Amino acid sequence: MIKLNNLTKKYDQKTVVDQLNLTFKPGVVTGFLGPNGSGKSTTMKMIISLVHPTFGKVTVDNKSYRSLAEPTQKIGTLIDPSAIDVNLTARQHLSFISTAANIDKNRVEDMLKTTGLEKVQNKKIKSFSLGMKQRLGVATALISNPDTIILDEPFNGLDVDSIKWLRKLFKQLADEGKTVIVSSHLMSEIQAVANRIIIIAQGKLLADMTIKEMNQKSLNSFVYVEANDLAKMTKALKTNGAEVVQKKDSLEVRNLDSREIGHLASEHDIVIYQLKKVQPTLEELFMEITKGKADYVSHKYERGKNNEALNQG
Amino acid sequence: MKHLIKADFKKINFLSSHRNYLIVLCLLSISFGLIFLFTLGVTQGKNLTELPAMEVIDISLLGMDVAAIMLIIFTATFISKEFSHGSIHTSLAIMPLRQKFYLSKFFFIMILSLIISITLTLIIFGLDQIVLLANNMHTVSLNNQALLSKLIGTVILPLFYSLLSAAGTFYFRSAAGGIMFALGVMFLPALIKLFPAGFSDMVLVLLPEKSLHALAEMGTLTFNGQLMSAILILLSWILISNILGLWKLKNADF
Repeated sequence: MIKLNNLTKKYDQKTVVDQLNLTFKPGVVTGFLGPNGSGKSTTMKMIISLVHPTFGKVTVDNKSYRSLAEPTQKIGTLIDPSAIDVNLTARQHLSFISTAANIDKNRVEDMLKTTGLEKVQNKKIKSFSLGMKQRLGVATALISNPDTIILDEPFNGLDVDSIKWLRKLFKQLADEGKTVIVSSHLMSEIQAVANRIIIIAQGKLLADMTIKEMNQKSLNSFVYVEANDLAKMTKALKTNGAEVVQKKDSLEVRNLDSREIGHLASEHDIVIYQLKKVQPTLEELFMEITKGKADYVSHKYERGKNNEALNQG
Repeated sequence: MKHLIKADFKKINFLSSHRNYLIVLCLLSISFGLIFLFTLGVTQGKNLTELPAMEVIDISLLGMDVAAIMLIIFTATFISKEFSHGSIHTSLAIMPLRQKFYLSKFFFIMILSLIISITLTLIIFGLDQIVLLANNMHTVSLNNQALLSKLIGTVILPLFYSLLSAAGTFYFRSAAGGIMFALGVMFLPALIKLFPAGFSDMVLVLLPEKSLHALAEMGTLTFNGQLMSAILILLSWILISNILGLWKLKNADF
């Protein structure tokens, strides 16, 4: 289990990561989201001791990563797919890693198969596309069969097939009881694979919850209503504490769920044509949460309001 | 740590550019040794047969200076790739203890330099013996203490400068930094000698060139004050420069 305790990183006066407290548990795919420069990569690098925290600490099974006897068996990482000697072939790169980390040579074959790089195993990495480099990076992260896999933007440059493969792989790894931490700016991909979402901005934790919780807590989720008498429906809803926005032929209702709206319509003899819960996509949620980021810095009231809304629900 | 060293040797074997560079390094060192020997008439106006056997060996071993310079460049480019390619991310994930990672590179360069230096020194010495025999001159036995001292001093030269290059590369995080540092230390005595004798004598004692010469020109292999001070000065250069290189690596964020 990986624990972040008050993890803070400052470069001169700039705070890149600000007192992060998180725990990553096994069997869960965690999506790590945040705008550019939010501190995602720095946090990941601090977990594997590439970056020194200014304050706080990271523990992996109650030890620092540096003091682990076999660190690669605990955490496998893909931080930068281009961070490879591009004059090597895929096979040579994996063979080099297996020797350096004292890993069984058969794992090289396994990883070439798992990542679908068998056919290009003897091609130099400099001829690889970004997607192929990403696959090789995933192979490097998985070669030691680690308990935790940390991948920074693994979907970048992948084609549709590769994205499907990666989604399947993450689910499979989580099912095997491994901890999977994935950062991405492709919200739809995170939505498709993650069980848990962490959003950070300006190094601060903005949200840490399951996708289900997040949808429920979102300010943007509402019930879409089409009825024969919108004016009557609006009056009934408002009387019962709903927040109603009238559109051309429909209503957007907040603070009441579909069932309550259905009962109200029945009580007031209103005919409902359509009644559906509208859930925002993760991308919309992300925009919603990080929209307050500017206010978050300069307007204390707005920041407080925004966080409160997210944390209540 | 031994696995990291093994992996670095594997990398050299994988990369034809590295392999070819080291082959060229060996060929050039031997060639230059022989060129120095066969151009004596032009450079010194003397015939080979006029020289004592030890001087013949001494001249051909100048080819090892080429090996030293080329090893400085090899060391710097090999280590700097960790920084320029970003492969240090993977390396430090495998070996997060930075002093161990540093030591693995230090020992890898040390072993590689030793293998190359010993091999080249023996080849050049072997060729010298053939040249001496071909010119009906007396060969020099390996039991000769002066010869052994010269050979040991010759082996240490490329080893010493490649370890300086490693320290410089880690300190400056660039091949240029490593090469400039090692070559700077190598050629600094030539600059210092331009200053008045009082000053230059004082500084030259502290620079490694004099100690390296002292090791090669001892004449006997007995421990004495001169040998001890030469070893101490060389070790100090290696230790201080590599402690600085390690300090820089330990405190860096990647």
